[in-house]
Amino acid sequence: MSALYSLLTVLVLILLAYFGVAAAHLGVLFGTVIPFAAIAVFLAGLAYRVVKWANTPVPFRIPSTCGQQKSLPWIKQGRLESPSSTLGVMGRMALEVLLFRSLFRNTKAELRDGPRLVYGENKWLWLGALAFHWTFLVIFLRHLRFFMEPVPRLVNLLADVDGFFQVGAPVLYVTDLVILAALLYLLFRRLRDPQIRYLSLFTDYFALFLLLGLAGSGVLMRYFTRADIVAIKELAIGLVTFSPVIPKEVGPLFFVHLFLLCVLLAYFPFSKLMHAPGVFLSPTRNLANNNRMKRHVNPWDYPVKVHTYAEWEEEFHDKIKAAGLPLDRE
Amino acid sequence: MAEKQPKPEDLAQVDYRPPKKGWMDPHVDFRKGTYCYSALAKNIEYLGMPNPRDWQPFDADWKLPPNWKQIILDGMKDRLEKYRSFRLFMDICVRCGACADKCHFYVGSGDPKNMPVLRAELIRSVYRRYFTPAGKAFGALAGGRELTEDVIKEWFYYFYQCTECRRCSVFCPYGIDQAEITMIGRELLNLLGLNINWVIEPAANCFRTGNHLGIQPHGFADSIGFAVDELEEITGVRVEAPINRKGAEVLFVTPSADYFGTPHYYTLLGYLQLFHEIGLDYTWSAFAGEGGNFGLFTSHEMIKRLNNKIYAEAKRLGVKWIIGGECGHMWRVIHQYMDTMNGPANFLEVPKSPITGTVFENAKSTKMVHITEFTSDLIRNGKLKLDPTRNDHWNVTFHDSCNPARAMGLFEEPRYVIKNTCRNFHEMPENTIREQTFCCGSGAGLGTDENFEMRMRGGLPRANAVKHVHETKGVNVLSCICAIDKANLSTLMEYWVPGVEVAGIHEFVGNALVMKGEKERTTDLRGTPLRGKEAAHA
Amino acid sequence: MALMESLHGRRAAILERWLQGVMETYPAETGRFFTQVKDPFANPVGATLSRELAVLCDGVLGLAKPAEVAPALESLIKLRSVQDFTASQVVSFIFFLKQIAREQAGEALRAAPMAAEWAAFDARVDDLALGAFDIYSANREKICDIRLGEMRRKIFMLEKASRLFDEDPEPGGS
Repeated sequence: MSALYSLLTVLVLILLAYFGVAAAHLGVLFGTVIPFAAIAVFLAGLAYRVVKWANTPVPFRIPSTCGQQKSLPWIKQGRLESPSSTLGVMGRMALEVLLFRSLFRNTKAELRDGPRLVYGENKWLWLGALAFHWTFLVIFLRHLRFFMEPVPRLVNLLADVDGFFQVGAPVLYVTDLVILAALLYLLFRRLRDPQIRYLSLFTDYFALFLLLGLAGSGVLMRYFTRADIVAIKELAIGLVTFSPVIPKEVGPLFFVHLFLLCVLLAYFPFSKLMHAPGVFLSPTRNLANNNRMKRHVNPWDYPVKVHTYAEWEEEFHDKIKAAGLPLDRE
Repeated sequence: MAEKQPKPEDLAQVDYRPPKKGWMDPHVDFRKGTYCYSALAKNIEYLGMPNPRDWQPFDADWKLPPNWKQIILDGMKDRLEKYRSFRLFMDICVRCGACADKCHFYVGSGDPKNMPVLRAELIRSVYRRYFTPAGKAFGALAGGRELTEDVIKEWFYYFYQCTECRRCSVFCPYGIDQAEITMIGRELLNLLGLNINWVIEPAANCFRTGNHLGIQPHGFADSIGFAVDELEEITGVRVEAPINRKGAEVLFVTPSADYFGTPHYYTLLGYLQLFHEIGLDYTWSAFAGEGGNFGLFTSHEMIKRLNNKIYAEAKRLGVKWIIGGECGHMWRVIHQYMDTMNGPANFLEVPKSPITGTVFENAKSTKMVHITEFTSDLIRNGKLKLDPTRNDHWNVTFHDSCNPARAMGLFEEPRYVIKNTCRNFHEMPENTIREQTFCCGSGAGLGTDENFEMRMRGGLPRANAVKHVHETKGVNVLSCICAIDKANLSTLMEYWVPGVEVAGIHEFVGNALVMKGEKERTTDLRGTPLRGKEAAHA
Repeated sequence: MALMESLHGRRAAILERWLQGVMETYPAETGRFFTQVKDPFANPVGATLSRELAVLCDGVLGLAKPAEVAPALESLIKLRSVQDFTASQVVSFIFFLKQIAREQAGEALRAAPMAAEWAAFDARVDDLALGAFDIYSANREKICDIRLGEMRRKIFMLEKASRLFDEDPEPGGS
C-alpha cells in the first residue's frame, strides 16, 4: 500500500512538471524559481541538520569493536576493525563510506541444509547499494559538463571511461544501465522480501521511486527523445551564473527531470537520505577504541548521589567488626 | 469420508493465523513466560527513583502519573540534546534490513518487532511524530505514530526483550546501535517508574551492600573464607585472601556471582589459586564487592552511581591499580564509561605487572586491567607452571561474551589462556563467534525465572551453534568470561544441549596450575576425578 | 498396503504441504522468515522444523525406524514447548497429516473400500501425537526442574554454608 501511494505521488510530480511546462507554460517557474528554491532549501536544511548533530555532545566513547583491541604487544590488533588511533579510525570510516564494510560483513555458514547451495542475499544488498551509490556519484560528476564551460578534462575523461564500450549513438554510458538495475533491485528486494516489506514505510518507497524517475527521465532524454543538449546547457549555465534563461528548444521532459531533482534536493534534509552526512558522525564508528588509554570527557557530566564507604561502614559496623575486617573508625 | 474429514486448522479449533496487522499497531499480549515482573516499590524508593507503586505488566492499569505523556516527551527532548548517538540514530536509519535477522530474539522467536530496526522504530515513530517537521505535518505517512499508553506498554515489552548485546550495530552500515536505543528507551520508561525487579533489586542491593544479592560484609568474608578452606582440601595449599586491606598493590573486583553462584564459584577458586601462586600483593573489597553494573540496564545516572564505588575504594585502600574479573556488562562499563563518569583516576598508577614487569599501556588512563589480559601476560612470560592434562576431561569451546567482544575487542586474550590450559579446543561456526557472537539471551537484566520461555528462545541461536560442535567435535564444556553467561548458559545447555557444562576460564587455570607445595590432585575443582586418576580418587 | 505405497510416491508433496501447514501456525511474517532463511545458524528454528518434520513424515509412512523418529519428535516438541503455544497447539500439527494425506492420495484411494487402510494410517498418526503429548508433558516437568536448578545455582554458597544470609537482607533495612 505504501509502495503504491509513493508511486502515485511520484507520478503526480512527473505529470505536474510535464503539463506545467507543456500546457500551462510555466517554464520560468519550473526552470528558475523552483530550482533556486530547492537548492536554497537543500543547503539551508543540510547545514541546519548537520550543525544540529555536530552541536549535540558525545558524552561517552562507545565504538562497536569488530576486531581485536590494542592490548599486549604480542597480540595482533585489528587496526581497522578496532582502531586505537585517529589514522585507524579514518581507515575504518573510509572502508565504511567507500566500500560499505558493515554491509559486506555477513559470512556464509559452512553447513547448508541439503545439497542446495544458497547464496547470501545480504551480499546482494551490499552489491546493490554499492552499485547505486557509486554510479550516482559518477553520473553527478558527468553532469558537471552541463554547468561548466570549458568542460574540465577530468569530467570528460570520466565520461570517456563511462562510455568505454562505445555502443550506439549517443554512446551508451555503463552507469546509466547500472543505476537503473541497482535501483530496481533495491525496490524489488523491498517488495519481495517479507521482512523488509513489513517494515518499509511510504518514505522508503518514495525515495526509490523518485530516484527511478530521475534516472529514467534522464535516460529517456539521452537515448530516446534526444533532447537538445546545447539548449539545456544554456539553461544550466544560466542557473549557476544567476542569469537564468529558458531556451524554447528545451522540451517538457527536461523539466520533469529537473523538477524531480529539485524535489529530491528539497526532500533530502527532511528525510532518511540524511544518512549520507550522518554516517560520518556515528559514534559507534568514528571513535577510537582507546577508552582505557585516553580519558573521554562528558561535557554535561554532573554529580550524582552515591553511597560512600563511610555510610557503608556506619550501617554495617558491627558486622564488619564481627567478621574481623579492618575498620576506618573503631 | 474425505468430505467429512475436518480441516487441519479445525482440529485444534484455533485460528493459528493472527490477523495481519502493520507494525504501527502497538498492542502486545503479556503472555506468561515472556516478560519480567515489575520492580518492587521498596527498591525504587530506596534508589530514590520516580513513581514507586505496586503494579504488574499484566495489569490493565499501570498506574502511570497523570502527566506521563509530557514526562516522556520532555525526557526524549532532553536526551536528544544530550546524546548525539540518540539523535543520529533517530534520524539516519534507511530501513535497509541488514540488521533484521541479526538479533537472537528475532532469530529465536520470529517476532518481527524483535528485528532491531523495528525495535528502534517503536521509539523512532514517536520521535518523528513529535520532533520532526515531516512527522508533525504528515503523521503516519511520514512514519509518525501517536504516543499512547499502548505504545508505552509496547516499549516496556520490547525494550525488556533486548539484551543490549550490540550484534546489530556490527552489521548496520551506519553503526546504529540498538543497545544505545534500548538504554535510552529504558531511561524513559524509568521516568514513569516502569522497570523490572531483577534489575532494580540488584541495583538497590549493590548500592547498599556492595553486591547484587544483598550479602552483608560478614557474609562476604564467610564466602571467601569458605572457598579458601575448600581450596585447601583440593590442593593441599592454604591461600591468603585479604579483604579491605589497606596498602595492597592491587584491588581485585569481580561480579558477586563469582563468590555466590555456581559454576562461577570454580572460577573464584581459580583466581584465588592464581593470585596466591604468583604472590600478588592484592586485596578484595566487601564495599566494592560487585563488578557487575545493573545501572547499565537502568540509566546512565545509575551506572555512575554504582560504578563510583570502585575508584572510591581504590583510593581509600591506597592501591596502585585494579584488576577486574570475568564479567560482561561490567567490562563494558569499565572500558567505555568508568573513566569518563568517575575518573580521572590520578591517584592510581599505570598498571604494571609486578611479576613480569609488563606495563599495561592499553589501560594507562583507566588503570584497570582485565584478568585475561593479566593472566595471558603471565603465561606468555612463562611465569606459570601449567599442566594442561588436568583439563583433559574437558573438550572446550569458547563463547565470546557480547560486551567484551563488541564493546572492548577482547578476543585473543581468553583464547590464549584456554589454549595454554586445555588441550582440546574447538571453535563454533564463524558467524556465531567473535564480533558476530550470539548473546546468551539473558543479558541486560532479563535472566529472571519468570522470563524463562523468552530466554530459551533468545538463547536458541547460541545453543544451536554449541550443539553443532557438541555433535561434530564432542565438545562438552562451553567456556565464557561473563557472570550472566555462566548463570544462563548453564540453563540454556540443560534445555537445548544436555551434556554440555559451562565454565569460566580461570577454572581451567585453577585446574592446570601446578602450585608450590600442592598435594597430588585426583580431582578437578568440581570434585570430578581426573583422567587416569579415577582409581586414586576411589 | 496399496494406500501406503501410493503415499510413498507422494512423500515429497505431503512433506511440503505439512511444512507449509506448520509454518502457518506461526504469525505470517515469522513463518516466512523460518521458511526462507536457509542458514541453519542464522535460522535454527526453521532448520529444525524442516529437518525433523521430514523424519516424522517418514516415520508415519513407515520409511523411518522408530529409533530415528523419537529424537526428531523430541527435538520438535522441545522447540514448540517454549514458543507461544498452548498444549494443544504444540501437538496439533501432527493431525494435519490426516487431511494432507487424503488430499494427496487422490479420489480413488479416498473411496470406501480403503477404509481399513485409512484407519491404520490414522492410527499411526495418532500414535505419533500420543508420543508428542508424552514428550510435551515430560518437557514441562523438565523445565520446572531446570528452573529450580537455576535458582539453586544462584544461591550455591547458601547451600554450602547456610550461615551466609543474615536475618535482614532487605535494602533500606537496619
